[in-house]
Amino acid sequence: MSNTVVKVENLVKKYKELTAVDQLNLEIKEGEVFGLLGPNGCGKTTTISCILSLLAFDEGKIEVFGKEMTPVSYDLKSMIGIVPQNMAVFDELNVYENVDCFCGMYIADQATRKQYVDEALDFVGLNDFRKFRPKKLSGGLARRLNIACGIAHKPKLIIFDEPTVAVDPQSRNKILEGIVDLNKQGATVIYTSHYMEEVEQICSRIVIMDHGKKIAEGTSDELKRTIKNTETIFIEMDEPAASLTEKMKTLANVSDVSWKEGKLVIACTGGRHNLIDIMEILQAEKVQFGRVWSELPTLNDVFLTITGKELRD
Amino acid sequence: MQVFKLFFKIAKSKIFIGIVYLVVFLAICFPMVHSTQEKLDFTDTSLALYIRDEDHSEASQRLIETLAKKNEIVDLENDNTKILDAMYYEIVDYALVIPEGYEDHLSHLDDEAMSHELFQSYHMRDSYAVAMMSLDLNEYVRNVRMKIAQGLPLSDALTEVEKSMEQGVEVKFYVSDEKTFVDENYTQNFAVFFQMMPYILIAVIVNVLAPILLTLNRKDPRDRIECSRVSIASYVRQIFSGSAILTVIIWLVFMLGGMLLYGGMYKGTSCWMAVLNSFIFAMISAIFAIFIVSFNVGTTVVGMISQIFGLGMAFMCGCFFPQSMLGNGILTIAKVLPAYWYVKANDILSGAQLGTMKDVWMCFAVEMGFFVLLLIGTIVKRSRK
Repeated sequence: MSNTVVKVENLVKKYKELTAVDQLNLEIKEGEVFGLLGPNGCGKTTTISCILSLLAFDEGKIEVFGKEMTPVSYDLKSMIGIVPQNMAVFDELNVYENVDCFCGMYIADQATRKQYVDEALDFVGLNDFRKFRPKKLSGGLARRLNIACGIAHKPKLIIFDEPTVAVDPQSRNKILEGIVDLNKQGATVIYTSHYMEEVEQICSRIVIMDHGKKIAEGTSDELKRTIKNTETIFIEMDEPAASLTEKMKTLANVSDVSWKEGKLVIACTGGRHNLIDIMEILQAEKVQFGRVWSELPTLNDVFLTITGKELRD
Repeated sequence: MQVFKLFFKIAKSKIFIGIVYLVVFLAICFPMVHSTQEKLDFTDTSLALYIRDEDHSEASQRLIETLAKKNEIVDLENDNTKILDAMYYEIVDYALVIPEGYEDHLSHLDDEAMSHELFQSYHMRDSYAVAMMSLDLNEYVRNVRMKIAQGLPLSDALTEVEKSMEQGVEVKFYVSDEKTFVDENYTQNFAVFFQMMPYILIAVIVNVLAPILLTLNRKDPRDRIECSRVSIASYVRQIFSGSAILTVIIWLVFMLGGMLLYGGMYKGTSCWMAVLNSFIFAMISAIFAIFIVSFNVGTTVVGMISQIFGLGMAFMCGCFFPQSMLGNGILTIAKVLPAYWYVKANDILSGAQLGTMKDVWMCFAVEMGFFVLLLIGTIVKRSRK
């Protein structure tokens, strides 16, 4: 985990007046599943395009595998696999031909290529669909084809740019499991998404972006620790009396109490027995209530705390 | 070679439209190429004449006999209304009246009267029949009087003139190695096949090649290729090679189709020059397709451009009608289109237009100029992107 695979220093990319990426610094280590999380339009794809030299940037420096990345860094490009957000396949070719075609852009030897293509199709579970045209595949299967085309040549660095957009939950899980497997096989992964659950599920380290800037970085737990709220308790009940909410606010770890949409929402900061303490108050006050549950903070809470808006806004 | 292979894999799915064009084109050409050959020939024009002799002299009778040798004499009632009706219904082209005293007037050299005063006539104003008859009668009268002036009696003078007019005029077509091409191996009928080639080449090559290039230019797969180890130079080289080879294949298929219509291998310099002409135009069509694609238009727009440009150019440049039938204004505009020079070269080769081999090469050079212009335009457009 020590070698740096991608290093981005002070990256600035402007589209006329709009600064899409603003003084971004990233360092991605070998073997990581690195998550780039942020709302739509925050600069994730632009950053990826700059890393891949698909876009020229205005300022900064990008190194991949210790070498400066340029449009003609073909030695570096041969070690990278890309799974873009949109379907980057040819509708005129069938599944096998598509994977073979893109694998052929890296692997000249026909026998090796055939083996790699077979392995890739096997890996994404498209063996039974070899002769199918992409348009005949379901959304989930088409996404898997998109992945197969990006990984068939066994790259050391694989970049997934929102690969699960518009994919059903079953296919999404399959894709996420596949990414973890690829990482276990030795590939370093950059994963961009605006789905915080996915990033939380598979990424070992996460950078949160907003308006082209890095606003937070760390593991999921590290990021969550940066916010005051560590637990939120929800209690289904009628609107409580003001005295009840005041009493709850006196509890040691309770930072805020509010009533929203038929639920009492109690934000806690640290502490171990918050739920027990709250239940004791409810029983003492003889308040009738329905379901009670507790939620740990999410990356959305982190984003909300930092930016004041929801990740999906 | 991966991009090159990819090019032809995509081509397989786009070639159908080209096959449709080919079959329809050959089906249209077949009857045109195999229609009866019109020979370059001359026949003297004959008029339908009504002649009313009011002089009843030897001179008038011999004039009638002379005219009857060259023209058809129509018999009508001596009624002005019927004569006019016959002219209206084009039963006769010209009604000649030889008035009383014709022989006397003809014999007197000091009489200045020429045909229009010696004779009377019914005719359609400004018709070709009037022009022809005026010329013939003037010539006849002038020659007779000339013979009389030489001392011959009237009867002998008439005989001499009749003899000289009987000889007629022998018309021969002047065929020069330098001036025209009359090559029996490349007839004007078969030249129709090559004449329509600009339209069909533009239609097929643009409609087949441009969609392939548009597919390869689609952003996402293109980005994926750009992220691979295939260099940009190699990518462009392979795309250009693919385009060139596909164009040659399409052109060869058309040439083979042409051989089917021709009935075997092409023969003669003119025919092979026409083949070369079509090859140059195929290359122009290919670079035109590449040029269109550099504007990132959709497949539908490509189809529209090929139809509008192909058909428009074909009509303006003489692919469907001879250039001689087109107005000067249209031809002036057509000169800035490659098909004009293609058709001109083809016309010279088939003998439909006068010109030398140097003119043909000049047309080829102008066509190549269009190719170079489009190539430069494409390079400039792509380098800007």
